[in-house]
Amino acid sequence: MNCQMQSGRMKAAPFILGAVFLAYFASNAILRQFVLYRAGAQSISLSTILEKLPAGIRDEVRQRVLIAELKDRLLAASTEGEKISASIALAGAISDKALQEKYAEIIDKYPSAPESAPAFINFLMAPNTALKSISIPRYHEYLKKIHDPDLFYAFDGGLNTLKSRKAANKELAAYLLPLLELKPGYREYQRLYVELSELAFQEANQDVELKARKLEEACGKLSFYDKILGPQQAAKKTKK
Amino acid sequence: MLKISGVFEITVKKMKEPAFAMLLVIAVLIGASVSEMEQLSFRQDSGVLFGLISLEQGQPLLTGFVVIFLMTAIVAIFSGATDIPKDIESRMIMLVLTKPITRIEYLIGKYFGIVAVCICFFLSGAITATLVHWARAGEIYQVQMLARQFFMLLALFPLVALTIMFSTFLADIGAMVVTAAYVFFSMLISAVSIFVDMLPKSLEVVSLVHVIAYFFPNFFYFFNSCKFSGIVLLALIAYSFSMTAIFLLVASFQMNRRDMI
Repeated sequence: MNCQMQSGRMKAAPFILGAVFLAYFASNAILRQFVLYRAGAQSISLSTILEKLPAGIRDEVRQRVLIAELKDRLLAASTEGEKISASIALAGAISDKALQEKYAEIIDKYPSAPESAPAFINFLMAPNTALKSISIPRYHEYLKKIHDPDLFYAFDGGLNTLKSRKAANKELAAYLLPLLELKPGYREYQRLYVELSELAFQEANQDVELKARKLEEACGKLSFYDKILGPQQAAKKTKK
Repeated sequence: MLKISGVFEITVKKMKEPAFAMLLVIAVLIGASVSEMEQLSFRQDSGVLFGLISLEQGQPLLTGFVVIFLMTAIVAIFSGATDIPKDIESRMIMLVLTKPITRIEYLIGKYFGIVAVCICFFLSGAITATLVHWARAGEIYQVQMLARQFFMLLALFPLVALTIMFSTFLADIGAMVVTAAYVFFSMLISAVSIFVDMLPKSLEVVSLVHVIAYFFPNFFYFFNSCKFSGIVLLALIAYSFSMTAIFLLVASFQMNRRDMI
C-alpha cells in the first residue's frame, strides 16, 4: 500500500514541479508588468533616476542609455525617412567620425529623400579632407527632388553652411539663384530673397536684384509656415 | 495530514513558553506605539523606490503596520533559522522520526507551525494598533485599508520557507545571517531589475539582470499600493505560494539527503 502511494507521488512530482514553476514565472511576469505600467503611468523618468548616479559615471551611463534608445528607435523605424533620421541621430550620439561616415553613406543610399538634407548640407562645398564634397550644382539637383517645408530648410541650411565655409559672394549668389524660378509658398522665404537681392546689388546684377526684390515683396504678403500648417493638420484630424 | 498536524502542534506549543509570552507583550507594545503613524510614502524623486512602492492608487500601507510586519519578519527569520537546527542538535528530530512520519511531513509541519507563530505575533501587534487608533482617534480603520495591511502577510509565507530552506543547509546562526543577506540582496536585485526594465532594450545588460532576478524573490510586489483585485491579486497570491513551494521543495530535497546525526 505504502509502495503504491510512493510510486503515485513520484509520478505526480514532475507535474507539481511544472505547475509550481509555471505559477512562479507567470505571476512574476504579471506583477512585473503591473509595476512597470504604474511606473510609466506616474511618469517616473529615467533621467530622475540617472541623476542620482555619482557624477563620475553619470555622463557615461547617460550616453550609453541615449545610444541604446536611439538603437531602439532605429529598429522600430518603419519608413525610409524614419530610418534616415534615426540613423543620423544614432551616429551623432556615437561620435563625430561616425556621423560623417553616416552622412556619406546616406548621400549614396538615399539621394532623393527629404530626410537626407542634413547629409547634403554637411558636405556642401566641403574641403578636400572631408569624406565627400557636394558642389553647388549637385546640391541644386537634390533640391529639385524635395518639396516644402523641407525645401526651405535645405535652402536655409545650405546657405548657413556656405557662409560658415566663408564662400565668396559670387558663390552665395549662384547658390541662391534657383530661388528666382521658385514660387514661394511661405513668408519664411523672404529672408532668402533679401539675402539674394543684397548679393545681387553688391555684384551689380540689376536684373537678379529686381526679380529678387519683387519676390521678396510677394513673400511679405504670405503667411508663415506654421499658420498654414496648423489649419491643415486640424483639417486632417477632423477627417480622421 | 494527522502527522503534519502533530509536528505543527509541537512547534506551536512553544507559544506557551514565557519567552514567547514576552515576545507577544513586545508585539502589543509595538502595536500601541506605532498606531498613529502616517501612511508609508516616498517622494517622487526617490526614483525606483517611488516606482515600486508609490501610493497614488488604491489603499495605502500604514507605516505602523509595516513596522509590525518588519518585526514579524525578524521573528520569522529567528524562528525559521533556529527550529530545525535546534531539533537536530538536541536529537529531538531523531525521536520524532522514529514515529511513522517522513522527513517531508516533519518539514511541512514545522513550516506551518512557524508561520502560525509569526501570524500570532503580527495579529497581536495589528489588533493592538487598530484598537489604540480607535481609542485615540475615535475612528476605526476602513475594512479595505485593514485588508491591505493584512495582504503584507503574503510576504511572510515565502520568507519563512526561505529561512527554513537555509536552516536545512546551515546551522542556526549561519541560516539567520544568510537569510538576512539573501533578503537584502533580493531587494537590491528587484529594484535594479525594475530599473533595468525602464532602460532601452538595446542595452545588453537587460537579459542578464532578468535572469539573475528570477533567482531572487521580489518582495516589493507585496508592498505596492494598488487596488488589489482581479488578476493582480491572483498573481500576488500565486507568486507568494509558488515561491513558498519552491523553497520548501529545495528544503525537502536537502532534508531527505542530509545526515541527521
